[in-house]
Amino acid sequence: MTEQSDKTTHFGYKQVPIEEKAEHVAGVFHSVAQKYDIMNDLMSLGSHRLVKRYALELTALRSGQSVLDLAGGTGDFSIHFAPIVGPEGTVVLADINESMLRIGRDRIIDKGMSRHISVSLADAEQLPFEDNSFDCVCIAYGLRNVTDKDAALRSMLRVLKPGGRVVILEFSKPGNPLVSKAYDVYSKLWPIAGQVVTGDKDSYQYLVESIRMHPDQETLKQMMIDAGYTDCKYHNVMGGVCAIHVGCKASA
Amino acid sequence: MLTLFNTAILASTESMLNRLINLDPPTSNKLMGLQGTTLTLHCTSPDIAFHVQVQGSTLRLMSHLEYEADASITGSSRALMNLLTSSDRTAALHRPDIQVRGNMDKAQSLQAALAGMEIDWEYQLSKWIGDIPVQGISTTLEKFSSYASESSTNLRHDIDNYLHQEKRLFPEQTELTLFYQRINQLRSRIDRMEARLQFLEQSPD
Repeated sequence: MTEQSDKTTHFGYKQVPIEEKAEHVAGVFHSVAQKYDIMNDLMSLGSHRLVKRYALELTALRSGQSVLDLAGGTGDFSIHFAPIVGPEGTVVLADINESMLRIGRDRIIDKGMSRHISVSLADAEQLPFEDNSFDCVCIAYGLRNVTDKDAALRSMLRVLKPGGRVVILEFSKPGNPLVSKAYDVYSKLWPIAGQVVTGDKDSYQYLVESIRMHPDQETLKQMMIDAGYTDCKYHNVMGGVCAIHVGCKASA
Repeated sequence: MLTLFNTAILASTESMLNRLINLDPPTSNKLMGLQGTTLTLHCTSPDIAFHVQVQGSTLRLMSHLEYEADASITGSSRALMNLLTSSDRTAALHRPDIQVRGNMDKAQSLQAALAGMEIDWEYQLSKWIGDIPVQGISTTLEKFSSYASESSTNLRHDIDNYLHQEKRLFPEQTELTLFYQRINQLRSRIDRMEARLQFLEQSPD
């Protein structure tokens, strides 16, 4: 029996030992991987596509640049990055979850994009890439699942080229109390939808709880500043239901 | 919410535009040579700005651009539409109601690629319903178009004759010209008379 530390972290509303969170999160994503995109469409009523499109504009990517699609799972973002950076650019799809990555890889092959997108099984806290490798690192709906968010932010900063930017798309806190209330009521339906579509209520219960536990806009911005990013700002989307944080690595 | 609304409108426009481009292979090929070119289009009436980026053989429309575009074009909706359809690209970009900033060459190349788009609708339709029905439809449409054009010209001519000749509601063009000439002559004579009067008033005796 291995010795476990006393330190705990949240997994949804539950407290679990730090070293066990990644395993719990992995279990959730192994379970939902097959129907992940369908559920996203269902839960967001398709609006996640528009939010991602807006986030894509904030990446400021150009032809010939390199981008890391972190926690990219099913490859939704990578497929959009490839035509922007063109044949001279680089797209790396990375995720810690093998099941999600397998679906992403198959999708990339089906779209005939395997020459333009590399796939990597990687932990956001310890990215297996050289320093100053990417013009942009993008993490969409992934940061809240990371155990040590500060370590992940530092790791992302390390692999960014000087002048490069990080784009973090994540659920956040609505500013308007009415929107907040409506969103609370609506999100309570997600576990039920999860049960009907995937037969897995618990994973979607975790999704709802993990959103509530995720830092709000200002806290995440401060975490980015503390990690060493410059020009940090965020854009609220749908009244703050989602927020897109942008930060840069200082030029050398 | 407005951001997402703009994004939704641009996404559907982009999808429609790319479908049209896909129907014309020469335009797709021209766009391939312009990979990465970014243009800002600013319409002054109504006040709308968006950005166009060439991605392979397609266009990407964006509401937000984090860097400066290769070129920016400003003008009214009418002037911008004219720019999109005009075959004379130099004249279209040098109109007084159009302002171009940045890389003129890239702006011209993109304008030329889009203005030169010619979709073979007969061919596209024939893929769905077959050659023979398309031939029939095409001949009927041509006949109808020719008949409509001829009828329109005749109708305009008949109305013109009726109003001018039979009802005498409006004067003939020649009468109008003569009338304007007389007014001009009268104005000149009045000006001369006014000058003469001023001269007489200012003279000592």
